[in-house]
Amino acid sequence: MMSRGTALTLAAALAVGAVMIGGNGPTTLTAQQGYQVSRTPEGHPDLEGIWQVINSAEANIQDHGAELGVAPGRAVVENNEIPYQPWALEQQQKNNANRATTDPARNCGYPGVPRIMYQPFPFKIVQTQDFVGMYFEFGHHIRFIHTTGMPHHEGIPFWMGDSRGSWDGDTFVIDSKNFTENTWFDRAGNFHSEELHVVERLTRTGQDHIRYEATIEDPKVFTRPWKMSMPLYRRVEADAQLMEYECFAMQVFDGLWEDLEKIAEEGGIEGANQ
Amino acid sequence: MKARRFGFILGAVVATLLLSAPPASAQFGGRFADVERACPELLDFAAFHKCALEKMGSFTTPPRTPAGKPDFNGIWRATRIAQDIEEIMPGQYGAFPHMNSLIVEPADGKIPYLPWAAKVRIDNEKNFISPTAACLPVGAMRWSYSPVSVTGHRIVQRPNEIILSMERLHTYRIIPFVGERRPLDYSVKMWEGDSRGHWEGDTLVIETNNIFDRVWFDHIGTFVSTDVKLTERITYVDANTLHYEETVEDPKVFSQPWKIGKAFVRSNVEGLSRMDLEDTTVEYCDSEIHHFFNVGQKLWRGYESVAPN
Repeated sequence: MMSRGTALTLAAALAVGAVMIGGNGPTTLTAQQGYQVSRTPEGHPDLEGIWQVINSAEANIQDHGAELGVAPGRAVVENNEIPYQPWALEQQQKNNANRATTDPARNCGYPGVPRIMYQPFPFKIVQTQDFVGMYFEFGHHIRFIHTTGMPHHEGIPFWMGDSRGSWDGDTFVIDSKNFTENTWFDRAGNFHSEELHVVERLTRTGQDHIRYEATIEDPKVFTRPWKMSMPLYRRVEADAQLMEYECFAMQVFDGLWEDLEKIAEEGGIEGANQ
Repeated sequence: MKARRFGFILGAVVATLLLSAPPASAQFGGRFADVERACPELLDFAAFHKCALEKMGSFTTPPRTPAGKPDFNGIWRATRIAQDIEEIMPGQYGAFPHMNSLIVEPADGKIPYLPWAAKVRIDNEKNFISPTAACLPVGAMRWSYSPVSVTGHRIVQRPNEIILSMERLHTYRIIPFVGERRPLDYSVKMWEGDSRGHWEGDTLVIETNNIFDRVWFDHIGTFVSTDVKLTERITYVDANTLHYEETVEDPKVFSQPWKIGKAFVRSNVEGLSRMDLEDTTVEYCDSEIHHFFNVGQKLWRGYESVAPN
């Protein structure tokens, strides 16, 4: 893996990644024996349901030990290796040091892609003829992944990227670009630029499991494409329900506005002018 | 302050139009006339409501799901905005033109506040920032007429649930049909409430409780208590028009139940991508909140903060 240069094409990365799933991947999730996937009327595997990860990738997508309030965990990144360019590794370390105040998702911004997929909150997938919809408990965020062959928008950046979906056999492939540089991959400051290109692959491997993979490409920040993978687990409770984690609203009511009022009381209203 | 509020709304609309490029006549009516409708008075809400009720049941050939239920899947556009859901006079709010009241019951088109609540409403408008202008979530009660509705509301219908969404502040409501799960405890409040759907013939009925009481119906302070119950009824009037009725019951705030009546019209703009547009960012919202704070507006903190002793 180390010898690969930046010129490596995404297709090659995917091909190599697919081979690696057999042994080296952080989550070797192969299809359960005898499993027959249920299908939509269009004949595609049925991805519908409420899904959630069971990991601590939200805290750190690489190997990490426990911190107060943070579960320890092994990497979801292949070989625990994010191939930063030297300047970018320094930036990541700065981000990590300042993460308590500068993590965009912790400040209730859009978590971005793929981070929204492995936050510790459930999300719902629905499939229609024209799109796959993902509805997230966190912040009421939505991803509509169009499957009609409609091209990407040109020149409009999105925090959550601009996603298009297609089927590669029984795998749902999401191609996302037109990102902003404003989101991180986790709370540990792993980051990207606006040239981020994410290819996600969702494959049903059992009644209650999806294998989720994301290949990350960003020539401004990394020396080569890299990949993460993890299982998505079905929330099998009979009364499973997306509720609300309105991050921004809670921040406004419980934090931001009170901070402003406190600043005003202390006579520092100018401080709130910025 | 007011101009800024409008700028926010119009900014979102303009950004949306740039993406989808419908004709300039798209706003609030111009393009609705291009299809023949059973009840054509889309912007006279009382007349539309009356017509739709009179013709209820006479349109029997809506698109249907394999199970035979009316199929609401698609993108629908509202016909009104949320600034003030009673009648808007020209000049009353900046550049807004005349708009009829969305309220079809009582017949005078006015919200039937209890006397104390009418006073609180006026204080609210004067002293508090409108919750959605601070990017707080659009509540269930104003889903049907929220401002970026020019771009459409998406309905996704499954055999056991309905999902209503719209671009504005990335709002969605997931509505299972009755019997799918037990209601949430009364103490749990959510911006979109806890909803259940059922069919009455070809009408979809949605009942919603557990609503967080920090949402206004408009930008001028119309509020509810946490006891509020919403009942929405959605019915095809013709192949391209839905009748939407919302009944609001909250005896703590209103002297009687009241109703909104309006149309949803099928969006005939091709492509679904407009819904992708992200309405707001947290930076934008933070700066709005700082702005409102600095012009002396406060954050409205719900029914309990205004309830009479």
